[in-house]
Amino acid sequence: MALGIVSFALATFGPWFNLLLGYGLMAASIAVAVLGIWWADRSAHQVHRNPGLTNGIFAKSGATLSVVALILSTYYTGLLILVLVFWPLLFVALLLTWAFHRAWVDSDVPSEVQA
Amino acid sequence: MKAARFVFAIGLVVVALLSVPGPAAAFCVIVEPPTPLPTQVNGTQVEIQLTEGFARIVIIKEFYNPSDELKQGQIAFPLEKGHELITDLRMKIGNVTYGSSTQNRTDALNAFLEAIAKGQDAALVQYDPPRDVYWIAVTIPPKEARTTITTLEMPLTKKDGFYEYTYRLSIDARDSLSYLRVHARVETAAPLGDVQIPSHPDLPVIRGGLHFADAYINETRPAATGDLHIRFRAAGTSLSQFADPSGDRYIRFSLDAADPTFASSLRPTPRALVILVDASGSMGFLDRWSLAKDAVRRIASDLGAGESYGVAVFQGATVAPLSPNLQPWTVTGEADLVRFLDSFRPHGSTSFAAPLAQAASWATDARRAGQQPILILVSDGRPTRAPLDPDLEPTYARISYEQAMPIYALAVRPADHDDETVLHNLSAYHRGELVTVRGDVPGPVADLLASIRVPVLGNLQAQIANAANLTFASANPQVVWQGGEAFVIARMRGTANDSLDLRMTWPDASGATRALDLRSAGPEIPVQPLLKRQWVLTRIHALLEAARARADPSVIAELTTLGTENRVATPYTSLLVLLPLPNPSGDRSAAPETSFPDAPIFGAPATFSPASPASSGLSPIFVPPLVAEARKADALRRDVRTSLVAQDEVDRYVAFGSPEYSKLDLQTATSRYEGTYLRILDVGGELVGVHSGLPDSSQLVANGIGFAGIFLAVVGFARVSRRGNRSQHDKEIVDATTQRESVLEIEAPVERTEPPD
Repeated sequence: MALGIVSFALATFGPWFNLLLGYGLMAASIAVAVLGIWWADRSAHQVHRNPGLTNGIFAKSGATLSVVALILSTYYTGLLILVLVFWPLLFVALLLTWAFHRAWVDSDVPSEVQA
Repeated sequence: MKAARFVFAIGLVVVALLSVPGPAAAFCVIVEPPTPLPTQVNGTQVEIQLTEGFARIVIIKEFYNPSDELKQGQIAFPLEKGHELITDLRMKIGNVTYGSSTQNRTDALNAFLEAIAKGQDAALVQYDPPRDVYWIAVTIPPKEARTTITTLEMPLTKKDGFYEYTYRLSIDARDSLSYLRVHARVETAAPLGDVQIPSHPDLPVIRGGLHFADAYINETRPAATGDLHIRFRAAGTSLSQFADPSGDRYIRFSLDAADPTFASSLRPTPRALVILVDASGSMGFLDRWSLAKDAVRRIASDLGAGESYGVAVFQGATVAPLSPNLQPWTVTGEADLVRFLDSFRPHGSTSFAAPLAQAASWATDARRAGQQPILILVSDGRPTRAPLDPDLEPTYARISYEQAMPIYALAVRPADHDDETVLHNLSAYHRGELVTVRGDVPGPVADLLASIRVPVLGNLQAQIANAANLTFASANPQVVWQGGEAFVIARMRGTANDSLDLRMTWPDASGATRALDLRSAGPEIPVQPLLKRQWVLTRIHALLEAARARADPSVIAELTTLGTENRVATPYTSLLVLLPLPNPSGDRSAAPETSFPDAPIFGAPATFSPASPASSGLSPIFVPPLVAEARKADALRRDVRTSLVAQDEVDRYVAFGSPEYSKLDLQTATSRYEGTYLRILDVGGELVGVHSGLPDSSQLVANGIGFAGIFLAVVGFARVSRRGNRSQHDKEIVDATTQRESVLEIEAPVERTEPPD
């Protein structure tokens, strides 16, 4: 979905290009890509309990495509450059995210054990 | 878990450290200087003085500078050719009025610049050739008012028995904030006849006796009003004189062409209509071409016996005449004309100069045949190839002057006022006029045909016996035109008490010489105080016309001398007012630094350009690809929408580096448009569009990735959807099987619990 949206935005390049529409599509693509990565992550963690949530075998490939879409979107919107310029901030943000993630996963372990 | 908490804590510290403000490198901010408050016009007072053959207008404008900076107030006077000239400038501060001096153009400009550099108040009237306007530049200190008193003068020509004058009152009414006062006085040497003000029919005309009348407008608040148009005439012949203390005597005599004296001698010269029709790309819009074709047919069909016409259509580098020679109007000729015009499709560039060679050839033929050539230019008024306005005007002035050919213009739905003005300026020579077609054709064509005047009496000679140092400002011999007048204005040595012995001779219809003798005792001739100015203005206009056509150094020298001696601003002379410094050692010496240091004297102040790369507020090293793409798209749209392309005025397009491009003579090319992807060159008598950088490779790559991505996404969706359906289907089957098995499992015990038979 995210890749489709970013591709649509790229297809509008040319004399008819509209900056507002371009940014809108790219923002939508980023949002969908983040959702996609979150969904894949959620599927990966819950696959043992509910295999149906993975919809078969698409979680990993979906996440990969979402990451590709995310890279394209951030590159074309200029966010990627910002990220490269302000990489220390991103690094910290990633660390924080990972810390939250680990804290959340760790907090889930006892309930899993109880189940 | 502990490690995670540690990382979380460290992260918070790093974020806090990075949040401390530091030097930013990725963005830069442009600070726009504050926009100065515009100069206000508090009010305008106009004094209009009209007499036989002459108008003097005094415009008093009060300017106020509401800002805290010294300003150069600028007033533009787009005077029409052959009409007003600025003949005086005074500046009033409080109750003190300062007069002007006349200098040649360069000296006056230097003196003005030197004065404002010293912090001195000054005002300058100067001709600005590129814009073809006269400008008054006035320095106004902060929070102060300045009043300029400008005098315009012009000779008036008679048309159908009336002298006419139009004042652009609408401009003053638009600008003046507090008041607008107009006083018009008509005063004639002969008894005053009709006075009409068609533009303001409700305005009362107050008669003050046999010779003068007044009209007043007094508005105390801004009110939209049209231009003021005044017509008047004097009853009977007009003879007047003025003697100045230096011993010069000025005489003016005029007699209407319709006067019975000329009745047996008038012979309207047959017309030869030279019709030049613009078929460039812009004529293909707004139904202009159909209107133009209809107009040309109607104009030509007005011709009578002994008259002729020629039609030439011009588009791009092509000038196509209907016939190589002038021809009379016939029924079969009408069919040929319609067929000829129908064979063109509007396309290509517009060069108003291109068909002039054909027009000159036809004008010469017409003169040879004893006809009066009359040039009629049919166009929407937008030249796109050199020469452009104002360089175009001397070209038309020259042909009009050399061929004694009036130039008329029929503007066919001009796109804007500027286009109409181009045609207006081109049709100002030899009593030509502009008529505009906006809706229907018959009305404007009738107006055009009615406004065409031809000579009715030629070779009229004036002689003044016993006059020393006689100089005629009027043409001698002269040609009298339909509805016009025979007039003599001359300067000689003498006094107002000297008798006048004027003799006018002309050939009658049979070729015999006829004469009018006018003998008058000096004291019997009414005194007209403005006669000297009328002589000067008439002479200067004649010299200006000659200078425009030929730029003869002796003519320019005489013009400069006459303008300087008689305080007239011309393209070669300027008026300058210098005010003494109020405090020579005071602070005003530093004032010019607060003015616009880089602004040209006659240009707008240098302002911040929003199109500059830095204006986006982003550093040029950081342009997001989407923004870059938007800029490219904007540039391409700008190129495509430029008026030359949109109006189909480009004759042909070539690709940069192509064989066609290499054949262009770039040494002689003039650029008409410089875009990102398109340049339009005026080269080899045509407009050539040179496109480069198209198609854009990065756009093609993005489009390729985009369409491929869309395809893959659609395929992916289809597969996921199919698999999803299949999974659902499998699940339903599995569920159904499971359910059936469960039912069986549930039913079996029931069966087993049934009691045996």
